[in-house]
Amino acid sequence: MADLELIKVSKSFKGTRALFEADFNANRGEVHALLGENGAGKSTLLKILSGAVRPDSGEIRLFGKPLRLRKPYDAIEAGIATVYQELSLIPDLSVSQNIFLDRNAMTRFGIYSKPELRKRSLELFAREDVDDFDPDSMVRDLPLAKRQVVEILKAVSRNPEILILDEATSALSEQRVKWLLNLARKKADEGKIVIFISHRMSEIKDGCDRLTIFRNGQNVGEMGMGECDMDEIISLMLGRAIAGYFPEKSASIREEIAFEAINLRVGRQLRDISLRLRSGEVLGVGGLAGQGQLALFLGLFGVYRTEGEIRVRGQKVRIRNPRDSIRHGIALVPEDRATQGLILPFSIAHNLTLAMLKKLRWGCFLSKRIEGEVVREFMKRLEIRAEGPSTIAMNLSGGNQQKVILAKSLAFGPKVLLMYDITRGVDIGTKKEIFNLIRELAKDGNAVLFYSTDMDELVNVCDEVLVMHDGKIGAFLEKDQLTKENIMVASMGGRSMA
Amino acid sequence: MEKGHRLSRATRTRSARGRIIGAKVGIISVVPYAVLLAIYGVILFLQPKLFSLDWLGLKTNDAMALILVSIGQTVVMIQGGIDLSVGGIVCVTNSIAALYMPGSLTGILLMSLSVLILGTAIGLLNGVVIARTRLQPFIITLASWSIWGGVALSILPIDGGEPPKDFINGLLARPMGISLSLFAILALILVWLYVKKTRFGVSVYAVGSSEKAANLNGIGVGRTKLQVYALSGFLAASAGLFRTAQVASGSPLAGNSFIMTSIVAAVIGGTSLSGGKGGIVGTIAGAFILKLIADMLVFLGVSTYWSTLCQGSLLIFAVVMSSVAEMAKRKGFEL
Repeated sequence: MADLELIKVSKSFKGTRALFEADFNANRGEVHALLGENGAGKSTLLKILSGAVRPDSGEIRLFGKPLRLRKPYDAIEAGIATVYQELSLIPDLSVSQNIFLDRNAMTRFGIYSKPELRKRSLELFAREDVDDFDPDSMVRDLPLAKRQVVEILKAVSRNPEILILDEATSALSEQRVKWLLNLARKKADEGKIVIFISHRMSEIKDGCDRLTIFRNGQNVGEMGMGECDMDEIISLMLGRAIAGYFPEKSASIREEIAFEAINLRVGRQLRDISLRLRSGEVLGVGGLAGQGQLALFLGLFGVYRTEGEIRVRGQKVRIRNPRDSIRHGIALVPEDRATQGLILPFSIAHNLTLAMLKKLRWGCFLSKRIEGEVVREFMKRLEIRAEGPSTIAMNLSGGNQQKVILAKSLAFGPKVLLMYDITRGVDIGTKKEIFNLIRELAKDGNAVLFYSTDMDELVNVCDEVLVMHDGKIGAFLEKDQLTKENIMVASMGGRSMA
Repeated sequence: MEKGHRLSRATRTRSARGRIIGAKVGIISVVPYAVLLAIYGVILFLQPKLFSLDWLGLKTNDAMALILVSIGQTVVMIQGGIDLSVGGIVCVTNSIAALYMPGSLTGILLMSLSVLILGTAIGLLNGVVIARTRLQPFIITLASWSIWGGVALSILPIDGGEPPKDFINGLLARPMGISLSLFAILALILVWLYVKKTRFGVSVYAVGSSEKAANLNGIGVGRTKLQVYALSGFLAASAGLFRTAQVASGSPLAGNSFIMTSIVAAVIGGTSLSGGKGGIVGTIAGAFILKLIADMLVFLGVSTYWSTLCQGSLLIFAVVMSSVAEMAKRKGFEL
């Protein structure tokens, strides 16, 4: 009998079955990976375990005793701490207040005292080997990568029996990922149960002891890390074999310069940025998280005010806001599906055509006919799996949501695509389709600027890569220098070896 | 050892930067107090005689009802909601107290207590409906305002009622020559500084900042909503009682003006309409500002008809200042 057992757990959301009589077992002392495509039911399973979602039926047993989790509070009391994929931090509270939000942190007279919280935070930082945080800074002001670390520290501070890490590495730098894997190992060695979810196979290989695979809301396989091979895992996840994960890089670069930035500067975050994108080129942007990549993309797209020169197809242009850049054929595909790219309560069709309403104009009305054509074309081209154009974006799986965002950006026919970490938290099947699409777009003569935190993707998808370091371009790697090692060295601020 | 040293230095420099930014925001949060002082300064310049505890006590009595309502409104706004029912609650409690308050001491105490319980119950009811139905608090409390305003009109169709002298003298008492309301404000501020750090206080900020995240952290979101609306109802009823003594009469429509002014006082004081930010000390300053603007205009020889215009301009100024602060704060960081 396993220490943690979920027995025949089922859950449906408005008729869509997320979990069907799913079983799951995990034991003390192990880091247990949970694998599956987006929509396979992993997230629902975790939300049931953390009390955020109540199952329709089924049973949970912890150390042999049945466990009732009716709300998140019950799970916290039962010693289950979750690092949520979408984070559970309160933006207007400080780092230390967030970490010690549970009632155990109250001191005398039932209050949370600031010096006390600060002291405890610094102790926690020292214990977990984190040294670049101010406990008093507001969570709202932290970049995503740091917020992710706070979320992790919060879960760890509760000293849980079960630590659930849902996509906790997706926003982290390579070093921080190592730190987290060590942390997970340490907790497992202390006799805790660690449940680990990630879309990065290398992390699962390095950090986990056992793994369980989910597909279509059911447990389809469980095995020890030693006894499995990657092909088997992937085919179990997809229910089919997958070949050629990364696309072939065809020589698609043309002479014409599609986009050029000269001595660009964004506030204090970014300086001396000069880059050149040719038609048909996929230029990668790498580097540790938070080195100015976001400022670069938002600056080029006109969200941030920039100083310096931007040229589109040789012509000097002024980009003061996203409207300007869209007019010049520049599109941004953002990372954060829920808040930056999609209007969740809108249908696929409405989301898709949001950036091209002008083209749909028929007199002073919007033409339903043209909208239908556009939407059908893109749903087919990007293989968006949904009932139809009128499906509400909220009800799509993460991978499909990301495809809608991509389609939206493509719909108005841009020539320059700024893709900001668009594969973050996307399942393997969808990732593969996105890579193919990127190469196809390049082949058609589009220029693509592609930022990813995953170095494998940079090496295998891009023609050339520039590595950001401390708000500047740290290194530029041409085709023959493009290796993971070189990106790594440049990320740390070193010179790349030619 | 080597590592410990590096750690402490890193945290030290970070916190230094944090303090600089804190100071920047500090300047902004001082604005309502600076404006209040400036207005008071103008008044004193024109009428130096008014520099007295007597006049201050008078003005505090004048502002007290608004302050009480605004404090409740502020807590509700920090939680992310809004309470329009305060208008109805002030109307109904004012009418009941003015009409039915008996003359005996026990009678006064029992009546006051029942009125406070009534207000709390109305607020609690608002909270229950809002937490259960998850409908917009704007709509629910708008309906509630209309209902209790109606009740007030059916109790007391026109202004009237004569509250007992003892009741009036009690609330407007001036022990040691300082009016009771000044003490009350001091007490309210102290209570707030404590409450802010309790589980309840932190929950109010947390729910207002992100309801979803608060829930995932085991905070009772529904319970917090019940609490803030009940508190707002209680404070609105206190305001109703105080107004009864202050005006020595009841009015079925007296509460309606409190709805807008309480929100304006909170916003001028630095509380955000979108929740998660603010505090009642700023609100108290905001309420005083609204009251003193009228006086200042009188002493300047300007018609008081201009006072709502001034209040409106000030509101816009307050909102712009807070968003400028937000932007300045963000620029210092990488997003």
